[in-house]
Amino acid sequence: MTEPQADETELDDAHRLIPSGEKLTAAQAALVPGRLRVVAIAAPPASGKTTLLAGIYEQFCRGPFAGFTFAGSRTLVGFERTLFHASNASGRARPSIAHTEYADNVLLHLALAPQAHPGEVIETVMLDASGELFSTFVDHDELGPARDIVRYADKVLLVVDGERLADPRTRQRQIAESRFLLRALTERVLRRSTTTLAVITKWDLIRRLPKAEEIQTAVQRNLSGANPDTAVRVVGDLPLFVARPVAGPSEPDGLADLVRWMVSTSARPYTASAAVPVGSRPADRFRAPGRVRRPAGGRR
Amino acid sequence: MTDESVRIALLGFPQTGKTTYLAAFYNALCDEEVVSPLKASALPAQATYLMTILRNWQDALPTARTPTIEQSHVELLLSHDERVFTLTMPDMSGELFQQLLRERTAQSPVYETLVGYATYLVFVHPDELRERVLLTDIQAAQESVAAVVGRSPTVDTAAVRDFEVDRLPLQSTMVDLLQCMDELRSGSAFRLALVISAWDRVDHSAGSPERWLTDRMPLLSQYLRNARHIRHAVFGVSAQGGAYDAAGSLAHVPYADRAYTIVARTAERHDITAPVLWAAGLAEGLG
Repeated sequence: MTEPQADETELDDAHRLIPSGEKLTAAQAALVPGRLRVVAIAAPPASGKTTLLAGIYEQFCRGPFAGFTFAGSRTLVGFERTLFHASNASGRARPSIAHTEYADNVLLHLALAPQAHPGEVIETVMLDASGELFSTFVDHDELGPARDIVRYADKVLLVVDGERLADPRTRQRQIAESRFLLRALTERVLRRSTTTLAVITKWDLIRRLPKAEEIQTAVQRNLSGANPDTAVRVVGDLPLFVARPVAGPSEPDGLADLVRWMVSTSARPYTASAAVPVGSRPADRFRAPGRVRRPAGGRR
Repeated sequence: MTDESVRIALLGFPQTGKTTYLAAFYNALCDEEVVSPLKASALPAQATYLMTILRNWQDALPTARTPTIEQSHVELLLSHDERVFTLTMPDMSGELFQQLLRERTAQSPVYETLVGYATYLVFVHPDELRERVLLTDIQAAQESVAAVVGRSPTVDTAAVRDFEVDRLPLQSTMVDLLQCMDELRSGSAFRLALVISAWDRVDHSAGSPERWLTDRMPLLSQYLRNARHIRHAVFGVSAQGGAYDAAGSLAHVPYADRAYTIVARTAERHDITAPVLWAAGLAEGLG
């Protein structure tokens, strides 16, 4: 990800700035109106968080997905930048996803409309912080500005890198890092009401191994020890890195379920009434007081 | 229609057929042989510009592109069902919209155009979709080929390129533009007639223009269906009638087939004015 060019719309006689479309700040996320879901993506470095999120956006570029249609994105350029490096337009021979830089709290946005409920739109804001930041957090309890976002997220998604799980040389280290991260999050930051899910990416690399089930069980056992309420799911065949059979399934395994989980009402629901507590909206939870200028008109 | 003035802005990136459409539209207004519910009541003030692009169109020559950093402003006195009204149509250079998305700054007159109208004709060209091809899909296709022929195909390696905002897939660029409009307009509602240019060159198995949009530009299609502030309809327009032959001529295309519109859902054929009629609220059934 690169720097945003313009942070917010400002009006003057000469020109009007338009948001960069690269990423949102916490203050900008607070201005997103309507039904909001805040999902924090946590993972050790190079686990594929950005790839996972870009993979979700790419599915909507191909059509309705997981029972939802695309209703907009305030970070469309950010998603496109990520996908560019995985496409032939980049001139590359192999996909290359930009690494989220240290201390960079990337907030990505997707507005999704449930096909079963026309006219309804769910605004989803996803925190994609750097893996190094989460490593520092485990070692030193430092999470910077991301701390408030993680704390007040509706859901936390722990990404476990399936490629490192598939390799016997890195498997235990990957499981241990994930366990320590989940434990640190649970003990230091998360509210009891926060829903957590661990997802093993690149499952197609694991499922062909004789020990596939054993590996998933090991991850489940270790993460349950860190947080008994954490479920473990698998996502394979992500379109960005893992070539799918040409005649294979059109939907990456598990990704549709993941999208539905991300936008579904959590255990502590933000329903129409609960989403707007007295004096604030969900995003106001991580908004620095007094920093946000609310425009006269709203979007959508 | 109670208002006697209708203002419709033409939007589109370079080479999307805006000026060609304007020429064919003006021809339909002026040529009594063209059956059209809209007719010109008087010569416009901008007769020089309109006559230039009209003569090029009639001679089957390429219409001159709207110069960069310029806006051609057309004001026409039209009659429809014995009523007379003024149609104002600015035709802005497509480069200005590219600049807007690249620099994330709306300068006048782009700003005035994007916020000052309630009705737009937005042009997309099927030859400029710039569809994304993931490297993994290429790899999968190569593996399939290798499985059949027994060896991997030769892969051309191109120079690594930097990301450019104005080279996104067209459907993403259009959503970005519409979202920028929404931001500048603070969510105020508008009508949008989406014109798919060069419809004569589109694979007709695609069915209606709306079906084509759903299949070929699914992100834009989904966005438009969900955007509560945009009332939209999709039109397939052939304003040129075909591709120029090797001699640079369109003489092989019959005059009657030079310009027509395929309307949104029914795929029925109408004259070239259909998108304007719908955008102006004069023919809701076309949308």
